[in-house]
Amino acid sequence: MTSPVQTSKYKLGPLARFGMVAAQLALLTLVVRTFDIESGAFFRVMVIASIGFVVHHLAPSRLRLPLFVLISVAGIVTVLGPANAAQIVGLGLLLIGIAHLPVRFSARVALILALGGLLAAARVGVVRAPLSTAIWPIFGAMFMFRMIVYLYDLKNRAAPFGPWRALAYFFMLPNVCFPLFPVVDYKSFCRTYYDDEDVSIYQTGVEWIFNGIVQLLIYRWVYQNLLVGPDAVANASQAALFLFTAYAMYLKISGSFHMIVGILHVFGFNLGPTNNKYFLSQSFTDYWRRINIYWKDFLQKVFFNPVYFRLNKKMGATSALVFATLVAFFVTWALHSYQWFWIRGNFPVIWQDIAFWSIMGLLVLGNMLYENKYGRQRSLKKAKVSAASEVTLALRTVGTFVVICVSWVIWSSESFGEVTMVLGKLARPDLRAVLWIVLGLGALGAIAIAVARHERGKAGGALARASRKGPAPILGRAYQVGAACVAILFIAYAPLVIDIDPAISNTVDNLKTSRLNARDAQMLDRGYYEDLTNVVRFNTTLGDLYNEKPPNWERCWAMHPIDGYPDYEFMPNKNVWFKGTMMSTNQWGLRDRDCEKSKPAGTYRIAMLGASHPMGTGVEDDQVMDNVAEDRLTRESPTGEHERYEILNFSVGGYGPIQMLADMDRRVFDFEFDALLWTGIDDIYWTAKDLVDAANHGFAIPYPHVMDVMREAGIGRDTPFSDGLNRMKPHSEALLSWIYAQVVERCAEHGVVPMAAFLPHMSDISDEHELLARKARQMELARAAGMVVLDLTKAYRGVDPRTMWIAPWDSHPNADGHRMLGDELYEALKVQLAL
Amino acid sequence: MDRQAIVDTVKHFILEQFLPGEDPDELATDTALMTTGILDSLATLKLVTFLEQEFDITVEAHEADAANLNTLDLIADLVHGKL
Repeated sequence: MTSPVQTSKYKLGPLARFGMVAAQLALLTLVVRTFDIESGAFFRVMVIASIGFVVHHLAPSRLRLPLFVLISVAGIVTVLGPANAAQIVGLGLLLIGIAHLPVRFSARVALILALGGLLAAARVGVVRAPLSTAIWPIFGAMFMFRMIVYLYDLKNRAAPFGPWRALAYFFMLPNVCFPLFPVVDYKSFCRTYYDDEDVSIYQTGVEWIFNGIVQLLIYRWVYQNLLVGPDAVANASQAALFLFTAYAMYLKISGSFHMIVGILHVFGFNLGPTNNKYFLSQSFTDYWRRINIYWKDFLQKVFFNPVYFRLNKKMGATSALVFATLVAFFVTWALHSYQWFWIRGNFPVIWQDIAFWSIMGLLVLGNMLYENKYGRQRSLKKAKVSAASEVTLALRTVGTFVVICVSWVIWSSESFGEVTMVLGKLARPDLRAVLWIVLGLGALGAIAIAVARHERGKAGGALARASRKGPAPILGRAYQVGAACVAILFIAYAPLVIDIDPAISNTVDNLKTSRLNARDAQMLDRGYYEDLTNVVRFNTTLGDLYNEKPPNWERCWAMHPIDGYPDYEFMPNKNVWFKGTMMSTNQWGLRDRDCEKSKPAGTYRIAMLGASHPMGTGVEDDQVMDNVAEDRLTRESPTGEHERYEILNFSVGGYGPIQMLADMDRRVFDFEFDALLWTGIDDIYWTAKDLVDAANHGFAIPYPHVMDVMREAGIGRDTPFSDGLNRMKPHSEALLSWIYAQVVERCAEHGVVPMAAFLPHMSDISDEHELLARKARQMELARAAGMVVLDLTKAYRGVDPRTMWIAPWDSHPNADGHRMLGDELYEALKVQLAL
Repeated sequence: MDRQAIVDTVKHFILEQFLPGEDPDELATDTALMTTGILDSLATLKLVTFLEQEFDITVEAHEADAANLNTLDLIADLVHGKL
């Protein structure tokens, strides 16, 4: 046990020191809960870690490792449930068991590869296995890289081995919440276990957890307030912001890695840092050493060093260096795709990955060759500095930062056109943009100088640590973490008890939840991201949602392509499983009850046009909003004029206004009806999206006016989507007015009432002012065109839309949402039909 | 070769190659070299090449890590164990 420690003026006993760490951990758990850090599952893991920490520390040292294993398994059971936990632990034990079979090492590796291949086949559904799809991301995160490291060390007998060590290594506590997990080195995991005074290790752990939380809050603020889509990049300032935010999204990974390793510290694993001020890298090799350090160490240990050592004697140091570096970056690319295979179930081979890792590989290689030839400044004590050396430091930092930002934009972009579009905007800066960019980069340079001065002030810290005898003082550090936690909690709760500016209150409120920003919420509503793997990979807030999505979630087997616009439709008489429920189509290919084309006597009939929400995505046939309203109208017969009411649902998921217009023209008027009900959520946006989609796919839209608008906007097959949206923005309202006018004209020709119902959006978005303004505008346009507008935008009546999503990764309304929509439609129609 | 001679030889190499102009007294036998960045990956490879040539030993790829090369003490242990 530890001895009392003299701090500046207080003497703390071992129990008090331990108690201070426990108190900080409790405060951090409260912060995690208050700010909904990562997920509800992570909060549960933090509770387990906090309680487990106390039990673990008080246990005899020989029991600590088994206890850590038990705590880790408890975490898996708590988060994933007993059945999934049993599958993960069972498969894990099998893999670990094979690694230690009393046969030749190569035979063990072959067996593990064979089992891995079988599991990969099960992952993609080629082999049917009685395994839950929920286990793959976490099981993959536990074994996909750590098994490689484990086997490497096992082969070289480079570390001690034993059952508890193996179980602790593979099932380590925080992993169950994090599919993206740092590649913890087995040898370091064993070597650093209680390699310093226990409370010193714990204190480092709570500081890292705190550091991680702060990074995640900064990430959240950047994501909600600064992150813009490429379609919003209109000038050089926004282009610069786009570059910065692309790189800043890494804060999510680095923040979670800090928390993960911090939690491991409170159980005695004194591991090194995972990331180290990577925004302040002074060169590309420096960047490689600072960002995702565990990955760099893993690559160096398992791939770079073996290649280099083998080739060094054959071809010389420089050639070996070049070859080993290129191998390391090739492997990095391949293993990133391998990682996504276990997390998402596909192995992406995309040009963005190849371009990014090629660029990084060449930059690092060039930098290494330079350092190999000219060396690098190192010092044991305070280095001499001058104004010139500090300016050089700032310029190096800024230069590296800019190049890395551009590389990240290439990596995270959806198309090369998107990259050139953004860089094109950046190349034409106005004075304001120049000022902002110079100011921003100047601030970065100044921070780099300040941090370097601070670190020089601490020079010798490593020596001091090495020569320190006895426990490190923690009182001041504990006060800092504790006070910062209290301050953060105060910020969180202050708006509830005191009057604060609504803007500040709103910012705090947004920080407290992991909600989508306005753009992503809008895009998720529209299924924009379905085919865009990069957005999901880089935008981790969305990625977190999408990673839970079952395979084939989006596939609707009731749809088929057709010749001509609108490109696809429902097949008749289908009964298929779609988005977690059964859905059927009638003899005419409508997602609706069966009907005849001619209207039955005594019936008031409405033809409803729309997209995925009114189609009833993810709800059963009778629960769809049109059926809810239809049943109520017939049952309650509000006007007494008609025996029956029918609403024919022509909605098709994914249709935009131009597709709806085309669908109306090709088949809707084959049916007999009294009123046409157009439905929309955000028609202004959808009109633009519809057209860019059509241009990208080369669809021939059967309206010359629309084709003229496309030509005028300058969009075609090769126009990047975001650029196309930008180009369409000035034309969207006018085009939507034209569409509404076409609907009204056709209705007049057929003697039916043109109505338009506008539905609420389902997203819990951080800034909805812009969307609400657009919705108000589309209603004005519909009224101006001569449509009867039914405003259903308040249908959910204050209920949090997120509680009505059909799944956490899919924002379509569930049965409750459709009931509210149906009731609101009923009320609106009741008023309208009585007129 | 005794252990102290190994320490002296390696210390001289590190000071000359990576820390020119530094006070030799600042480099203690327990000074962290790899975990503090004094020996980065390139410098580590150079050190290994030096150890192999100077002491006529073979250092395996898996031995080129902080567990074996982080301090002069550890380096001396590694070399001594191979002589």
